[in-house]
Amino acid sequence: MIRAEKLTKIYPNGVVALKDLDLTIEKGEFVFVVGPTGAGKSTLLKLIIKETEPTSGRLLVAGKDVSRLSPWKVPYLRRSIGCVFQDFKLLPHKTAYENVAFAMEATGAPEHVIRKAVPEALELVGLGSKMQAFPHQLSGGEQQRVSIARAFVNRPPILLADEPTGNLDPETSLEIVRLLHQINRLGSTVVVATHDHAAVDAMRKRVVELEEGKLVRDQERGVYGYVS
Amino acid sequence: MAVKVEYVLKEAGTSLRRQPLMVAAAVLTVWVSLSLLGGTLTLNALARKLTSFWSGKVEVSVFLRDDITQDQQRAIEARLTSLPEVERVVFETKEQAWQNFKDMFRDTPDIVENVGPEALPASYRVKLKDPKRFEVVREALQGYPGVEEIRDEREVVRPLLTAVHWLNLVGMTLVVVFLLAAALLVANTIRLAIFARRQEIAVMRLVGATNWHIRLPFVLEGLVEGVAGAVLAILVVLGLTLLLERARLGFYGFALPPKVFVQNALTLLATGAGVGALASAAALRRFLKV
Repeated sequence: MIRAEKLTKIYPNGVVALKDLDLTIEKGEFVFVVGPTGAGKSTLLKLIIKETEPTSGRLLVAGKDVSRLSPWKVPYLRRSIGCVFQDFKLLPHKTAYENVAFAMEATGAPEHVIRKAVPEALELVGLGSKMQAFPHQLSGGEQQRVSIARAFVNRPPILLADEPTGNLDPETSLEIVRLLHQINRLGSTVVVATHDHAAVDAMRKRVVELEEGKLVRDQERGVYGYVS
Repeated sequence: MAVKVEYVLKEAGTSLRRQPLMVAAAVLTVWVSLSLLGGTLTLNALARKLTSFWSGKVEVSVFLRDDITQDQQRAIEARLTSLPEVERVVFETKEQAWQNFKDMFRDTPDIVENVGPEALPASYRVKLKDPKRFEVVREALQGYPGVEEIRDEREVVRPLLTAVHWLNLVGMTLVVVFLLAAALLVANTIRLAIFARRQEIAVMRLVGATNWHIRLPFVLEGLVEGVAGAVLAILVVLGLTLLLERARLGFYGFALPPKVFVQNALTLLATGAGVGALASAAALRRFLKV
């Protein structure tokens, strides 16, 4: 589903974010990408949604070479990838329902599909009773659930989460990671970039560790590892 | 790929309401600049009409004395037709002069009554191959008895042409300057609108909205501002046209046909829409990375 071959990203200011990364993530996998801040986790996710361009190497997403993708096809690439962020990126003046619906409207989904899919997605993340709540009326965990519903509502084959538990307490973090796992079981390939030890250790899933832009560990059923 | 119409209208409408003062400033500037353009175009059309009215018919008039004899008149006619510079000579009797006069001033019977059929002289109306060779006629008729006056009709038009020239220069310079200011103001409202919606835009990009889905509401917003200014300017030009009509310039035959107004209105509409769309396109290029 995602394959990096000698993937290298050097930012204009000279920072080497990724160096010759080789990585394959199969369809339907659940993968943690771990490592200290600045290890290249976020850069990898940004490269996958073509928010930034690799300096060299190849990156295949769903069989397509992302760096060769023409600009007008980028929106269609992004429709097949759901994204979840540390800061949720919810629109403050829209309700939970409207936030999820907004994502569907933006891709031109017809009204009757939106009316059916949005409540379904919010039910799935456990917010069926809070669809009309605004973000400021929801807890951090609930807000993250809304953003997961938004990422998932179009049933994308890939779901990327960048530090999804970074702003949450440990207990809520576990709930969020379990929710991502549940989405994985519904068929999406899920990639979670994190440095949340507890969450990684609790799940016992594949762990890919980056350090200074290089792959230092790739382990099935792994734990976060060495205390740093 | 298809972008929903209601969505574009709704978003553009919300955005326009969000910053009424900036939008008003942009629309007002478009209005002023297009009013200037419309005014210049209208006065130009009037001047063209005037010019062709005077110079189209006659270039040199040779007015005859009332006591001219048949022989003297024949001699003058023979001399005029013999000149190689002359293209055409038409004799206008006192009767015809009176008829033309009455026709010209049909809206103002006062003037017609005060003049009377005897007041106007008979004349030869001379069209030259080269309008600038007026002096030839004057020299050729030197010493011919029975000539009351020789008049270069283009003299009437010349100050008008000069005025039109300057009007165009000043008017068009102002139009360009104001249009530039208008474009900058429209671009600024779009910039603010993009800023106000930056979170929405970020989310839209993330979930895979096409560029046009994101851009179109802003383009429409600029277009609306341009067209609104144009509509207001068209009202000004309509007022100006009616004012000229009221000033009774009509009795000289200078009334502008409605076609001119319609043409000007369309020009203003197209210019307004163009400025609005171009300004928002420029703002999008500059401030919206997609």
